[in-house]
Amino acid sequence: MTALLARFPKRALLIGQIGLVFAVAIAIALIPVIDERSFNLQRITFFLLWYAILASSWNMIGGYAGQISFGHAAFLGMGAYVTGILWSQLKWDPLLTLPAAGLVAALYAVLVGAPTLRLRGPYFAIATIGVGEATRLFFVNFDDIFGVTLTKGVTGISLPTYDPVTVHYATVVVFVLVMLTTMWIRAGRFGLGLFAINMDRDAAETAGVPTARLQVFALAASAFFAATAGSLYAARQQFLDPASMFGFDKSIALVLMPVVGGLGTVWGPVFGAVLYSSVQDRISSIVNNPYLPALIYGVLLVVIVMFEPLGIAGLLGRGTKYARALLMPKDGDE
Amino acid sequence: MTAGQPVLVARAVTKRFGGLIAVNAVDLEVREGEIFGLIGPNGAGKTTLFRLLSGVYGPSIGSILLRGNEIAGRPAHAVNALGIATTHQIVRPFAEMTVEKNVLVGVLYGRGRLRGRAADAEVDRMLELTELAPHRATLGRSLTLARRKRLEVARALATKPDVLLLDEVAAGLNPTESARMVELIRRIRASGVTIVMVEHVMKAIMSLSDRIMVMDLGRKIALGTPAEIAEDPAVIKAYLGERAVAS
Repeated sequence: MTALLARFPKRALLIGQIGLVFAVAIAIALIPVIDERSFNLQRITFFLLWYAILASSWNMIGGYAGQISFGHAAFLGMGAYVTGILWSQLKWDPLLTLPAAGLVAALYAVLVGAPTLRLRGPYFAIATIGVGEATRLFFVNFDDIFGVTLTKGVTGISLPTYDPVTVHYATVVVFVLVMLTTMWIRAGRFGLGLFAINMDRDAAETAGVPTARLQVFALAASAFFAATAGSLYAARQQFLDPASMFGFDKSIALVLMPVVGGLGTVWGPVFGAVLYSSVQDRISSIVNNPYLPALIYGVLLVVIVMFEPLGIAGLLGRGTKYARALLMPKDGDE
Repeated sequence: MTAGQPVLVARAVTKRFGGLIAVNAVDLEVREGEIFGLIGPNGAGKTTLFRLLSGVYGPSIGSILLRGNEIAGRPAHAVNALGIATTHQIVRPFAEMTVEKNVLVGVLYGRGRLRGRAADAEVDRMLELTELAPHRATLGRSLTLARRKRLEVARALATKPDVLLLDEVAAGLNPTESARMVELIRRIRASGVTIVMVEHVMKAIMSLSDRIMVMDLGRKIALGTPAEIAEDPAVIKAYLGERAVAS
């Protein structure tokens, strides 16, 4: 790696980044070990990591390459359904289906990304809304189209039981993988190319960056991890339906978390996920109004974006030089 | 300057935008190691021709060969990989990247296939050459126009082209900055890179070019040394009008 690319001029900061990921991972992994009856805490931390995985995966294409996807629930849902079908029909172990689910979604991303990522300005974002909805409708009507009984339409499918603690550990592992991947992208040649595309696609192209290929790769990597999150959900909840997996509200949540947390930063999506899942969880447990969390989150979004375009990562990074380098290593801040 | 082998050859290249023919059956032959100037009044089709040569546009008709390789119809990054790099008339730095990272994009995605420390060393070399080393940590958006123009050159040159297209790199610069740019272009040619340049600053292009091609309304109207071009009636007519020739 070139010294210029390393966004952490001091090796200590790079080690700090990786250390932070493992510290979080180990702390959460220990929860079922320390108290095996901590079901509520396990559920909360599962969803926290789950949202962090999703937000970080979205950030790879949305934050780094600047191509905003409003249809990411398509990849999430596809992963969940691939796992659901392989598990219930072919009796695969659900955790072993993760790579398969990821690959199917990545292939799908290549298929839809190759034509749509050529679009400029807001048109990719608009196209993804169409992709998201079309994918949802495809899974809702899957059985009718093929004359089979697999997805059971809007009613959804019930899955066999599975040990939630095993899923808990698997989620920690996927979280570590997604964080290491996002850091690797951020610090390397691939990420530099994506940032160049984000800032000026034509200039990047004439400087030799194969912009179409890079964007498709980024979308495929993003879809891969979003799909594994879907698989983890299937294994943990043991029930899938199109509304909760492919819902437009899920796609929106995936956009909001990285934006609030800090677009194009390594830790921003994680902060966004923490805020999002805790607002969801806290508020719903106090007031029984399904719209209140969205309202509160919306207000937070406006306030944060008004004062700090780099979101929570930007706010927290204001403190010290080290916090800044650790949380939002952007050019000009080093 | 001794004329080398033809390196970049265009044959009957035409570009239509709807009913408008921006470039009309233009032939071009650029020789190894020369500085080839391209001039013409506004709307003559110079920038469109540049975009055809750099792969930003594909020609409607015609063929463009770089050392015998057809580039027409290839995407710009593939044309860059074959050996043609371009600057942009309206400067386009990566605004939120430092100067050194702007150049690093060209180095890492260019033909040199440099990685690691070799890539860093190449960035340093480019920054020294273009006198941007003191501004290496400045963001693209904070640079002055003169430095942005030099950054355009540095980033394009960092991809290790055989042919460098310079689109009005002296335009808008004051005389001192313009003279520095002329010096820079001389140094680049001396390093063995063939240069094709569009320029409105006559002093710059007349003193630099080995040969100049003049375009008007999409067509090639003259080709020759700077001295020949300055005397050419068709050129004087295109720039100054009919009566200027008559008198």
